[in-house]
Amino acid sequence: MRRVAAFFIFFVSFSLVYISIAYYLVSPKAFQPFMAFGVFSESGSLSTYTGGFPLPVPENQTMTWSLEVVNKMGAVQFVRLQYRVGNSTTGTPNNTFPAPDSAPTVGKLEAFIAGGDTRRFEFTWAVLKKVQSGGTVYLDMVVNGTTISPPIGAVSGDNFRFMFELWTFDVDTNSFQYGWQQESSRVGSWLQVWFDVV
Amino acid sequence: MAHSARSTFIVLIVLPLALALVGQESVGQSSQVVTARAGLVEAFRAVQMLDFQGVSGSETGVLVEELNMALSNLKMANETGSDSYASLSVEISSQVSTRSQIAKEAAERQTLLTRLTAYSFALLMGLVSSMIIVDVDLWKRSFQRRKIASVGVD
Repeated sequence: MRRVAAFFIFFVSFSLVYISIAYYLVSPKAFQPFMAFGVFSESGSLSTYTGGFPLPVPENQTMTWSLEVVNKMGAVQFVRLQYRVGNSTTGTPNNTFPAPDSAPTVGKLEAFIAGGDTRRFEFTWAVLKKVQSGGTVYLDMVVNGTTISPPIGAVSGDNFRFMFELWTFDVDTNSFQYGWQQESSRVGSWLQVWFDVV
Repeated sequence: MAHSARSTFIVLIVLPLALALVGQESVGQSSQVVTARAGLVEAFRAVQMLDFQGVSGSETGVLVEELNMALSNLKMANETGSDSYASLSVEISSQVSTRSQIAKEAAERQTLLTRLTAYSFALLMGLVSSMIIVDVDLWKRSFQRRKIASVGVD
C-alpha cells in the first residue's frame, strides 16, 4: 500500500516536471517583432546626406538607389513604401504620423515580404529639368519610370529632399497604415535623403 | 509674384483636375479589379494565418512569391485597364487561398500530433522514472539474492 502511494506521488511529480519541459519545447518561442528599412546608392549608404550636407544632383543624371525592407514580424507583411518630395520648410514624418500633405506623395512601391525576409526595391530617378519661378526652382523628374512635376520648389534648387515612409497593411482596418504594429501601438518608420539640384 | 500666380494656377486648375482624376480612377475601376484586390487581401490573410501557426518559412515563402505575382498583375490591370491581368490576379490569389487552407489544415494536424507525442512521452517518462525510484529497492534486493544464491551453488 505504501509502495502504491509512493509510486503515485513520484509519478505525479515526475510527470509535472516532464510535461513542463514538453510545454516549453512545443510552445512558440518569444521574440521581439520589428521592421526596418534602409536606402542605399550604388556606392553605399546615403545616410550622410543630411540637411547640412545634401547630395549634389546634376540634371539628367540617373540615380540608381535601392530601398531594403527587413521583415522580422514573424509573419508575411504587405508593405508599401511611399515617397514624397519636400524642401527645407516642409514638415517631416515622425514616430506617430506620416509627413503632412505639404510634402506631396509622388509615388509608392508595394510588395509582400515573407517573415524573416529582406526585400530590395529599385528606386531610379533623375531630374529632367529645372523650372525657375522667381528665386524658386521647381523640378520635372522621372521616378521609377513615371514623369512627375512635384508642386513644391526650393530656393535656388537647394535642400530638396526625398522622404520615404514605411506603411503596412492592417487586416483589421483593411487598409494601409503608417508604420508597423508593435503590440498595442504602431511604430512609424521613415527616412530622408537631402539633395541639391546643381 | 510669379510664385503667387503659380499657386493660384495650382488651386484653380490643377487641384480640381487632380480631384476629378482621382474620383474617376475609383469610379472607373472595373469590378474585376475590385474583386482582384479583395481576393489578394483574402489570400494575404490566409498566408499570414499560416505564419502565425508556425508553418515553415520555405512553405509560406513560395506562397508569398505567388502573392507578389498576383500583386504585379493587379498593378498591370490598374495601369493598362485590362481585365485579363485582373482575372489572372484573381486566379493566382484564389490558388494561394486554397493552398493556404490545405496547408493550414495540415499544420493543425501536425501541431496536434506533435503536442500529443510530446505530452505522451512526458507521461511515459514520468511513469518510467517513478517505477525506477520505487522499484529500485526491490531490484537491488533481488540482485543481492541471486548473487548469494550463485555463491552458495559455487
